[in-house]
Parts: sequence; structure tokens; C-alpha cells
Amino acid sequence: MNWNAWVPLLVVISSLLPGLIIFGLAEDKVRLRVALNLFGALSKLVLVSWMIWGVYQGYHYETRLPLLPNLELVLRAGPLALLFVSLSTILWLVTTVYAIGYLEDSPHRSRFFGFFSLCVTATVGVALAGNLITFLLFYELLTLATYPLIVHRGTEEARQAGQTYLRYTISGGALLLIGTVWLYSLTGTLEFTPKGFLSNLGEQHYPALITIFALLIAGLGVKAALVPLHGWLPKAMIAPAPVSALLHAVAVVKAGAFGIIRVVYDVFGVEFAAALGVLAPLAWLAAFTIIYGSLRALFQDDLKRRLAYSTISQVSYITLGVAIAGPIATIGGVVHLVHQGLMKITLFFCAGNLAETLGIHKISEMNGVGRRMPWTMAAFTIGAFGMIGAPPIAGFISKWYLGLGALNTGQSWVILVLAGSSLLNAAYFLPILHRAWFMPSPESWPHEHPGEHKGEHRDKHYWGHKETTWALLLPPLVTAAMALAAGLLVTMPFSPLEWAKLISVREFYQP
Amino acid sequence: MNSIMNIEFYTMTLWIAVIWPLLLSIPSLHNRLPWPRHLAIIPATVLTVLPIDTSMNIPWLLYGTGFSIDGNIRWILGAFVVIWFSAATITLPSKEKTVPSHSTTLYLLTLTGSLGALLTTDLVGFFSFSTLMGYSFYGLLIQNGDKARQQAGRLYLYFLIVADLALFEALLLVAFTTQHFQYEITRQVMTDISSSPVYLYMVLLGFALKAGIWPFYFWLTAVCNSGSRSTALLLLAGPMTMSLLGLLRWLPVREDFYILGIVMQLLGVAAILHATLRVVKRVLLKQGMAHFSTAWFVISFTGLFSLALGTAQLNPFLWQQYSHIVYPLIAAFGVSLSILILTTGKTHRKPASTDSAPVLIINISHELKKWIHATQQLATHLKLRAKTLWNISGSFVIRQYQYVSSDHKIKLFVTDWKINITLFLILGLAIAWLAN
Amino acid sequence: MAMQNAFMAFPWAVALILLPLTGAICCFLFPRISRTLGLITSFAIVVSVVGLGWQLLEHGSYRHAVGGWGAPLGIELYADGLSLLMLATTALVGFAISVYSTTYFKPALAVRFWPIWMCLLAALNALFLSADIFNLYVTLELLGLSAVALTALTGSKEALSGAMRYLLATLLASLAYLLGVTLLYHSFGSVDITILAQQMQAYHAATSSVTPAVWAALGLMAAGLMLKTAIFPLHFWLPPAHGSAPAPVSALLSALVVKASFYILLRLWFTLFEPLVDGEAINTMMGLLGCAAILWGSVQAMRQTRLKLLIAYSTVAQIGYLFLVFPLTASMGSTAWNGVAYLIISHALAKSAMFLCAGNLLCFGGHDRIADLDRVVQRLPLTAAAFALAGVSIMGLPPSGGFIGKWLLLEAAVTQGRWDIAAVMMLGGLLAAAYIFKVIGHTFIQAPVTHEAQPVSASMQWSALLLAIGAMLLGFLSLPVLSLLNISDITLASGIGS
Repeated sequence: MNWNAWVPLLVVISSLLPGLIIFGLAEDKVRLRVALNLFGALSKLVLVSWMIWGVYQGYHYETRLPLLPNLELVLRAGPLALLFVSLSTILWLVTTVYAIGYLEDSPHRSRFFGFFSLCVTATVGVALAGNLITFLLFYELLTLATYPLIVHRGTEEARQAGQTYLRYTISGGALLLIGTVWLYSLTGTLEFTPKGFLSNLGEQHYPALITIFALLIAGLGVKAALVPLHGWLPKAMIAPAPVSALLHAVAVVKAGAFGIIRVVYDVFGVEFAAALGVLAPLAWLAAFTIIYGSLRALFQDDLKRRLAYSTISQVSYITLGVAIAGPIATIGGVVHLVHQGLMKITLFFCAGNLAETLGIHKISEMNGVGRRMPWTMAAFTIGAFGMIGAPPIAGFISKWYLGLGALNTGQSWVILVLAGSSLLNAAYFLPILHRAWFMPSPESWPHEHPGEHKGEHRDKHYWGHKETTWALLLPPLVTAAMALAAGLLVTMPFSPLEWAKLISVREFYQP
Repeated sequence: MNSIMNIEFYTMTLWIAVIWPLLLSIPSLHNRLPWPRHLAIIPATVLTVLPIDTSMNIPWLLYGTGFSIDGNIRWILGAFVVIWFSAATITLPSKEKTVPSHSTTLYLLTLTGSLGALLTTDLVGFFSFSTLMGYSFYGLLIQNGDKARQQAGRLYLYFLIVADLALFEALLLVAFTTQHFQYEITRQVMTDISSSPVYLYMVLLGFALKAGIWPFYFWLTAVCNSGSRSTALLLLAGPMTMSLLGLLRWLPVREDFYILGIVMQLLGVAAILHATLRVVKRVLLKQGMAHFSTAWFVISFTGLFSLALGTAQLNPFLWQQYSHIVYPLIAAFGVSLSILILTTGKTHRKPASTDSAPVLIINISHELKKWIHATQQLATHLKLRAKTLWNISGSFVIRQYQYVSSDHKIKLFVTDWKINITLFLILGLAIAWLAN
Repeated sequence: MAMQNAFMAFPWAVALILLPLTGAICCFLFPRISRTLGLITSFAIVVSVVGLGWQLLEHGSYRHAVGGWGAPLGIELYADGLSLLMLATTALVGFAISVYSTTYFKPALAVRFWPIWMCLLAALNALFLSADIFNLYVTLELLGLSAVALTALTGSKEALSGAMRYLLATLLASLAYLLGVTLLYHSFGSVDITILAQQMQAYHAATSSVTPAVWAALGLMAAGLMLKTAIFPLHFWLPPAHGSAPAPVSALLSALVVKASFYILLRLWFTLFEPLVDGEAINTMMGLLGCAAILWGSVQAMRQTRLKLLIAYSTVAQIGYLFLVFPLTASMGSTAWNGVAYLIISHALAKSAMFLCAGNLLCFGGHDRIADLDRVVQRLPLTAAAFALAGVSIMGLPPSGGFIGKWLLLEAAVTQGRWDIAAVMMLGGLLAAAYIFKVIGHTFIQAPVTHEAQPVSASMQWSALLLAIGAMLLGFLSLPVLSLLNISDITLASGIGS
């Protein structure tokens, strides 16, 4: 029995099954639900580690199931897939712990965790997809699985946010579908091949190919929050913090960016795309999004909205790295996929901590929070400085490679964009840090969580010596440490950077 | 055997000197120890005192960095130890004042950054540690401060951010040209004619901003005027010294590129002239030297340094001859200035200035922000107008449609049997005819 | 082995017709155990379809002369891939509806429901197995009358008026169809489809023209069948009928009854008429009607405030998709045909699931106003899940049967350069997403006025959910289903079938 053919499918199922079981659990079966969640996360981690080790040894993991006549559902573990899968898996584990702490005493947790698991299933499917139809299938599944999480709170506002989200993502999915069908009718295959499978089409197809590229990028750009398709992201912040953290730092926006990477590298091929002339407009669009997102972020008072616009800006770094079409820029774009995920999820975790423990939603309420919640704000500081690009945190490394890639391909205007973006990032992150650490705290916080009553400690720090529950505190610290490590230890063999170098080599240099 | 052991131990002291203050900066740790600020400098003192030159490589950190100490660095390290020790002593808690724990954290982080930047062997390490130092110093500046200190801090921050951007660009240019970042190799590579001159400008800009070389001295005066002796001391020991050191280490000597040397000379001359003018003005106005800001001493020194470096750029021979003097010179200046600061007592605090260049710089950023905001408001306004137009026309269409479709007569019309049978027959005829 | 042989040799096709007929009679005679009898009969039908399927897989398409009297005088039963799939769909959906109806109907109504329902099942099965056009008329008529009777079951004013409208429409259509049959019989002397096809083609080959009788027959039969299938603009009878009938009845009307007439249309068009006529203009007209139906139905569905009417208009839209097979099969052949067959099956499953959900909601809250759907997701999670899953198939989102059908149709459209059709299909998908998510969004939030909740039995919820899951699972079963579809011995001019 060839087990290698089933491992990718098992990775996908390892969160699907617990999710389906969780749907059926009653609300009060907390322990069972937590156990199922953690079991799913850990088993996925084990399977992914096995796959990585196996690929390192030279094994080949691929699942092929029939889907349509002449098209198969393909799950394949290549380097790019493994990069995204491991990011998703590790961050899912961390977010599960966080969500368990965050939603304590919230209603409808079974429903929440069920859909949460479905989301991760879809993300992992997107990561492991080996051809465009599989990608499309899991991409749409991701839309469907994230919608109930956005409307989870059940308010009218949440419903409206969900409607906006759907309007954007389903239209995007429709564009992606028509692009895929058209591509399939032209070429008869949709398998992801390094350097693409379109280069041997004749010249007369080039206008069609350019239109297909535009359709695909438009469809993917909705989730990747390219301007002007980004409108859903700030509104979707209405969802609870674990949802914002995972989805908008890792799953949804990364799926879009990952899709763009796949389309440019494994469908069109970078050199062919550059020859078609479609990469230059993409680079401009990405650059515009970077600046626009940062500008909008400057004027937001709501913390999560500011982080949302920051995400819009940062994810376009990945698109920019792809569109610059050079091996070093590729490294920068691909590695930023990981780095931005780590840093952004830290920031969202901290925002969630503030909201949950102290009822803080706006930056103007954040005066002096650093004294009340030092560890949380320390993690936030690390994340923020990483976003600004200060060494030695991970963001510095990705900006480095993006800049270097731009220099290598002679597109020095990108460095201006990067510099401007760093400046703007500093402009909207440093005031937050200033407020948190250097301003005096107010008399009382907007809505302090009562915490565990300990008799004599009741008046001052309700949590006693702790700043918040460990389930809320540990995840941001872990991800902040990972962001720091990703920057400090860049030259180690298993760092994201080395991985990104491998992917770039495969795309550009190997036949 | 003993000597080898000693060298091993000594090499460990290198990185302990950097890590120890970092560890101490954790609040729960330094809250439990007595005199944490003094404790933090002890490994560095050991390094200074024992006259062994050594180095260590840390290939797995960043892009491969390391720590080293030799005679030149020892001079500056010595000056550091003196200055930081004095600063620590000044800020000892006493009955009148307590020292909040986060102040110590920032202090120790600045110390880590300074020591690290001093001891690393390559550009990226230098940049990382100096970033740490820069932002921690900013924190030190503004915590527990009044408006003057806030203003000073803000200025410093703006300059710091722009300087960091310039240095990042410089680093990118180095990476574009070579794989190695050690000082000598970099300077060697960037001396080559084919490498970009932009590097030189970026380095000069970055370190000029950080050191307060004329004409970027505003934050220096602001900081020194804002009143705390310890802050002024740390200014010497941190940003200024590190930036001058950075210039020394990063700037290659290029024979063909005269302009840079000339520019640096000019800046130096201008600085010294400006300082002299200030002194003259004071003498003429009979204001006495009691409250003369120490900042101007620093500015003159950095001007002198720039002059010297510019001259060395134009005459590389001079550089080779006299470069080893620079380190003791910097150290001497640092120590003497610190003595000056200590002995003049608390410096006179000036209130926040309202009409000078620093304010202008801060105002520019405000204006910029307002302009961006206004543009965005306009864009949002237009978008809203367009949306309203769309909504109105859409609702107009929908209203008409609803009127049409819900009208009783029309409903009757549509469901009337005559109509439907007619449609049915027409369809049948159409099919039959079209098939023909 | 003997068991297996016996299983293979059993005339499952005949059983498919006789079982429900006997069931109907028994339910009428023994009203008190009608529920059990109905349930058993439905299950038996499922088993029979399995048996028939097995027979088809072994022997290819199936012909059976009833009473030993073959064509042209006797009645022949013919089963190929398409009929098998329609029969399977009927059996599955029928079983689910039977399970649902055991608890849905109160005894007074149940007594009247079960016999008529069994009759309808018999009519459907016979229709899918018929091989001659007069038999088709008989079964069509029986089907129509049973459906009308079921629509009028509750006896309320709207039900009666809806049923009356339906009755008149269906009678008009059947009449037209019968006229067509008469014309063809008069011209060619036989009612058997294969024989007719041969004769018509021989005539066409000989004289390279076609008699006016054939034109007239085509026009009449097509118009009649299109009225029965409720294609735009002849869909006026569908919303009132489906909206006012009891939920299981709406389900079977949308899922099965309208598909039956479409099935006949497909058969007759592609077997009898298509080889003879220059299909360009007609195909375009059918395509236009299909596109208009998609757009009109979706837009109307978005406007509705009552859930059952929304689902009814959704049916109108989905039927438009089916009519796209006409312009797209012109040169492509298999892909569009496969796509439409897949759409028929998945739509049957999904739409019946939706109507059963609507029935649950009606039972639960006493109303089906969309804006007042009060936190259904928490209180009736199975129903909400069923509606969502069925909606996914209707929208054509992966992974579902609807997606497979949509993909195949899109592929056919794009390959043939029919960008207009592709655009309409995408637009239809978006509009479907709009109205379905409108409903789903309202199930999450609290309504302004909370209603007292009535309990809904588990069998009702689970039958809806299982149908919806079936629609989803179809998304993964395309290869087996499509290979079944291609079992046929009718060769068509455009190369459909093996």
C-alpha cells in the first residue's frame, strides 16, 4: 500500500474530521471539544513534519483523486506547498489555544470551532493543491467556511459585514472560475509545473492569455486585498479576534497571495509572464496598494482597523516581490509570506488581548497599557518593529531581499516604495507604542474582565500578578519569539529564508 | 594551558558583556538586584581592564556576525565605562526620587545596543544594535518628560527614522555588491570605482543625522537643553560616539570621489564657525558662559571630526598615518565632556522653543499629515457622492420596476390566460417556423 | 450464484412501474397503514433501481416488451444511461420525501397524500422507461393530474387557485402534445421512438425535406413540453403552485415533475427532430429563453420576502440552465450533455432539500418570512446546514454537484466561443449567491419579533440534510455518474452516447 499517496489527503482530513465531530457536540462539553481541537492541530503538525522529513529524504507525496473527466483533484507536497502548510499548521495550533482562551464563556463555541476547523482544512487544501482546479475548489471552500465565522456574533452589523465579504469574495471566485475554464479550454491541463505550462502556446493566444492573467489576478486579488478589491477586509474586522488573527493574517489573505505566487510561477512562469508584459502593471498595482494601505492606516483610531489596513499594505509586498520577476525578489516575496504571517498574527493576538481583558478597542484608549499588560505590549512592540523593518526582526529580512531584488533587476523605484512604506509604518505604529509605554494610564479601563477573584487582590489587579490568562498570553509571545528567531537565525538550515531560496532556485535555475 | 583557558574565558566575556545588560533589562530581574545599572557594566569593565585582544565568530546569528576587541576599540570602551558609570551614579535612587523600573529597562537596553554596536564585526550587526540603541534612547528621552523633552524626543525620532532608512539603503547597496559585511572587506569593496557612489551619500546622511553633525544638530541642542545630566551623558556615550564610529567603519576611502571629502570638510568648517559665532554672541551680549549649552561643544567636536575625515578622504595617506589617533581622541573627548557635564551641576532647563528650526521640522510633519488627511477626505467625499448618485439612480430604477411589477393591472395582465395562451401558441409557431 | 442470476434476470423495469401502482392501490385500500406502505414501497423502488442499474452495467441498455408484445403494436420499455440516472434521482428523492412525509402530514391529509404520491411515482417511473410517444403522453397526463391533486391537497384558497392554474396549464400542454403525437402517428404509422426516428430519417434522406406535419408536430410538442417545464416566459403557473403546496409536494414538483417533461423534450429533440432540422435558429431561441429564465428567475428570487416563493423562482432560474444544452450541444457533443444531466440530478437533490428545509421552518415558526428567520442556525442547526449545503450546489460553488454541472457547461461554452452564454451563467451564479446568502444571513441573526418555536421531528430534519449532503457528494462522484450516463444504444447525429 503506497502510504505516500495518502499523506496529503490525511493532512487535509486531520482537521476536517474533528471539525465535523465538533459540530455535533453540545455547548457544555468543553473538555471534549478542547481535546478534539488540540488533537486535530497536533496530528496535523505531526503529519506535516513527517512530510517535510520525507521530502528532505527524497520521497514524493502526491494524492490524485478523479474529479472531472480529464481533471483530477491533486494534492502535492512541493517546497512552496510545504512552506505554506507548515506556516498554517503551526499558526493554527497557536490560534486554537488562543481561541479557547478568548471565547471562554462565549455562546456557540461548538459552531465556532467546527467552522474554524473547516477553515484550516480549506487553507491546507489551498496550500497542497497541485493543479488549478484543486486550488479553486479549496479556495471557494475557504470563502464558505470563513463566512459563518465573520457573522458569528449574530448582530446586524456582523451580517452586513458578512454580506460585504461575500459580495467581494464570491465575485472574485467567479472571475477565478471563468479564468480557469478559459485556460483549461486553451491548454487542456491545469497542473502546476515550475516555470509554467503556457510557454509553448502560439503567439495568437497571447491576448487571450493576458486577459486570463487579468481575470485570475482579479479573482485572487480580492482575497489578497489588492486595491481596489480590498474593501471587505476592514469591515471583516467585526469578527472575534482569533478569527481576525488567523484568517486575515494567515488563511484568507495568504491564500490570495499564495494563489498569485502559484499563478505567476507555476501556471504562467515568471519569464513568460514578464515577456507577456503583465508583471509590470501588477508591480505598480502592488506598489500603489502598499502606499494606499499605509496611508489609510494612519487615520484609523480603531486598533483592529489600523491593523487591517496594515495587512492590506503588507500583503502586497508579496505581490510586489512576485511581480519584480527576479530570483532575489522571489525570495523576498515568498519569505514575506511567512514573516508577515508571524508578525501580523502577533499584533492581532495582542489587539485581542487588549479587547478581551480591558475592553480596549480604540488606540486613544490605550494610554499606559504597557504598565498593565507588559508582556502583551512587549510582543506587540516586537511585531510593530518588525513591520517597520527594524533589524533583527523578520520584517527586516524580507525588506532586505525585496530591495536587493529590485536593485538586481534594475527597478530601483521599488526601493522608494519600500522606504516610503517603512516611513508610513513607523508613522502609524510608533504612536501606538508611544501611547502604550509612555503615557499615564487612565483611572479605569473601558471594560475590565473580572478574572479570577482572589480576595484581597480584588481592588487593584484583578488578575493578581498575572496580566491575563495564560491561554491569551502565551500565543502572542510564542509568535513574537518566532518572528524574532526568523530574523536572528536567518542563515540556519530550516529558516523560512533558506526555504524561500530553495523555491527560488527551483523556479529560476533548474530546468 | 592557563593562557588558553584565559583566552576562552576572555572570549566569553565578549559576548557576556553584550548579553548581560540585555538580561538585566527584564524588569523582574533588575527589580531584585541592587544597583542594576552599575552591575551591568561590570563585564565591559573587565574587558577594558584586561589587555587581551580577541574575537569570536557567530556564523548563525543574522548574516554571520561576531564580536571582537582590539586596542582601538578598547579606548572607546574605556570611555564608555567611565561615562556609563557616571550616568548610573547620577541616576541612583535616593530619598527624594525613585527610579521607575521601566526607566532602568530602557537604560539597560541602550547600554546593550551601544556595547553591541561597539563590539560587532560586521555592518549588519552594527546596524541591528544601533537600531536597538536608538529606539531605547528615544524611550529614555521622553519618559517622565515635560513638553521640552517630548519635543526633543520627537525630533530625535524623526532624524533616527530617516537615518535608519538611509543606512538600510546603504546596506542594500553593499549586499548588491558583495556577500560579506565585515568592515574591512566592505570598505575594500566599496572603494572600488564601479560601486555606487550613492552608498557614500547614504552613509554620510545616515550617520550625520545620528551623530548630530552640522546641519542636523537640532535634536542635540534640544536634548541637551531639556535638562537631565544623565541623558546628556548617555547622549555622548550612545548615539554620538556610535555614529562617529560608524562613519569610521563604514565609510571607504575613495580616491576618485572628491566631492564627498569636500562636502565633509565644508560641514566641519561650518559647524566650528557656527559654534564660534555662538560664543562670540554670548560674550558680546555679556551673558556669561555659565549656561552655555554643552551641545555646542559636541557640535564643534563632531564638526572637527567631519573636517578631519573629509581631509582624510582627500588624502588617503593621511588616513593611514593618523587613523589610529582617532579612537583615543574620541575617547578623550567623551571623558572630558562628561567631566564637564558632571561638574557644572544640573544644566539649565530651557522651556520648549516655539519658533526655531526644531519646531519647524515638527510642524512640517504635522502639515504633511493634515494634507494627506485632507486629500483623503476629498477622495472619500467624491466616492460618497458617486455612491449616492449610484444609489439614487439604482433606487429610481428599482422603484419604477416595483411600480410596474406590483401594479395590480399589470399583474393581472401577466397572469391573464389570454396572454399566456397567446404566448404559448406563438412559441409553438416560432419553433415550427424556425425549424424550417 | 443462482441468487445472483435471479437478481439479474428479474424484470426490475417492470417492477419499477408495478410496485408504486400496487402501493397506491394498497394505500387507498388500507388508509391506516398507508404511511408504512408508502415507506416500504419507496424503499422497494430504490432497490429496484439498484437492480436495474446493475443490469444496465452488465448488459448495456435495456429493452423489455411488456406482455411479450413488441413494437410497433405493443408497449416497450427502454432504459439507458439517462433514464437510469433519472430513475435513480426519482428513487432517492422520492425516498427522502416519503420519509419526510411520514411525520409531516397529519393523518387527515396523509390518507389523501399517500395514494396520489404513489401514483405520481408510478407515472414518473413509467415515463422514464417509456419508449414510444403515446405511452409518454399517458404517463405525462397521469403525472400532471397527480401533481395537481397533490398541489391542492391542503384545500386552502391559495392551494386551490394555484392548483387550478397548474391544472389548466398542464392540460393545455398535454393537449398540444397529444396533437403532435397524432400528427406523427398519422404521418409515419408508428409511435415507437426508434421506429419513428428511422422512418423520419429515411423520408428526409429520400426527399431531403420534411413534411409540414413534422413541423407542426415539432412546434406543438415542443411548446407543450416547454409549458410543462415552466421555461420563461411560460413559467407563470410555477410560483403559485410551488409556493402554496405543502413542502414535500413543492419538493417533488420542483425536483422531479418539471424534469420529467424536460427529459421528454431532450429525448424527442435529439432523437427525432434534431437530425432533420437546421437547428441553428431554434437552438439560439432556446438558448435565449434559457438565459432569460436564468436572469429573470434570479432577479425575481432576490425580490421575494417569502422563502417558498424564493425557492420557486430559483427553480425557474435553474431550469434556464438546463435549456442551455440546446445551443451548446451543437458541435461539442458530450460535455454540454453531461453538464446538463449533472445539473438535473444535483438540482433535483438540492432543490428538494431546500423545499424540505422550508417545510421545517414553516413547521418551526409558523411562517416562512425571510426577514423573520430568527436564529435558525442555533435552534434548527440541521435545517440551516441543509439549506446552506443545498444552496452551495445551487450557486455552483465547489465542491458540489452543481459545480461539476456548471463547470462542464462553462467548458462547453468557452470552447465553442459562446461568451454570451458563459457570461449569463456566471451572472446567474452571482445572483443565486445573492439570494441564497440573503436567507443564510438572516438565519444567523435575531429577528425583531421572536416567535414561539414548535418542535420539528428528527426525520424531517435529517431527510433534508441527507439530500443536501447527497448534492455535495455528487461533486466527487462525477466519473461513475458520467460513465453511467453514457450507456446508451441510441446514436445521435451529434455523437452523444456510445
